[in-house]
Amino acid sequence: MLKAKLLRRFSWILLTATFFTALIIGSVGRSGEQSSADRAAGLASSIACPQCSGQPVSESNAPIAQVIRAEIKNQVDSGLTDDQIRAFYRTKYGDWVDLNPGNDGIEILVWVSPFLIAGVAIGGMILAFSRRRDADTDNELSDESRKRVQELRTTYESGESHRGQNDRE
Amino acid sequence: MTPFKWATAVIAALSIAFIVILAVQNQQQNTPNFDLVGELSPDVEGESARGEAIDLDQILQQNRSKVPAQQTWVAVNFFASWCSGCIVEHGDLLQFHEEGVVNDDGVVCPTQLLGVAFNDEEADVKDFFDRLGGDWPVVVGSETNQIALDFSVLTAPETFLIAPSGLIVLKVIGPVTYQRLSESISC
Repeated sequence: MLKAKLLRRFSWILLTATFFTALIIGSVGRSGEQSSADRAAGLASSIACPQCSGQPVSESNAPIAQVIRAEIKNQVDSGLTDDQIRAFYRTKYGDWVDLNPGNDGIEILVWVSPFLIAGVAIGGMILAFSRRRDADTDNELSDESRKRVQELRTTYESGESHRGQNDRE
Repeated sequence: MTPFKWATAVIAALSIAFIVILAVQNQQQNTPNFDLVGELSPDVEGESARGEAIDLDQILQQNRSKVPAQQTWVAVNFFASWCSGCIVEHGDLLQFHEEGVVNDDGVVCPTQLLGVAFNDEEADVKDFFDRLGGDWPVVVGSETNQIALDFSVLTAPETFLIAPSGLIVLKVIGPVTYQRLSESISC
């Protein structure tokens, strides 16, 4: 019983540790030093071709997409930050060319809502499990009922043994 | 209501709100949401296929020391040798370059046509002019990308007419005609 409880607790700790390790690697790992070609490729895949239907410039062969790809590379090489480069294309072609949602205003919901929903879901699950455990505890027999069950069992078992003797005779 | 049901209801409400927000948010438009008309023109600076220096700002600065009737109107034409619309408009651009624009008093308004190669090779640009004629200055090379983006160009051909003050007074997406350019110029 104790072993099973310990095992269950250990599995929860392991699960939590795995979750947070993945979260940290996912968020911090990316911010490491990137080559300018990687940065340019990343930007090209998140800036929409102004002449196409929401297709990133990295995937479009439209002339303007080729121009933007070449210019993104120049901008990265000239030391502009990702935010400055995105801002440049938003200014020139409108906010919609930035395929990454912003982190202010209503767009912040895109980033926050998954965590919010996950939090509410986990909270709900914890509540549900704790209620079920409480309900299990509530079902335990009272001393009086336990005594009664014991009596019935004794009566039943003695009846069974009598019947066994009769059968043998 | 049990806490579990509450949690379910909250998740459902959040999901619905999120979907509604996405649904009512401005849809992505596939049309340009910019219009440079009425704004100051970006600079056009670079080297022509013949090796000449081209600088729009210099032309506009020279305008300041002239009387209005002698100030130069500049048409900036983004074109490419691969673009069929550019072949269509080329005759009108030749007329604009060679005849200029004459006002109601019979006075020729000073004009300058500047070409900017859009996503094109210098050799192809030279070949294009050899075939179709015309000898106005054309910016070629790596600077052309930056110039096209400064003008928020989508594709070729696009033409911008710049008043002597530096303000853009006309933007034509697609083949431009001599008439559209000439009726927008007054001196």
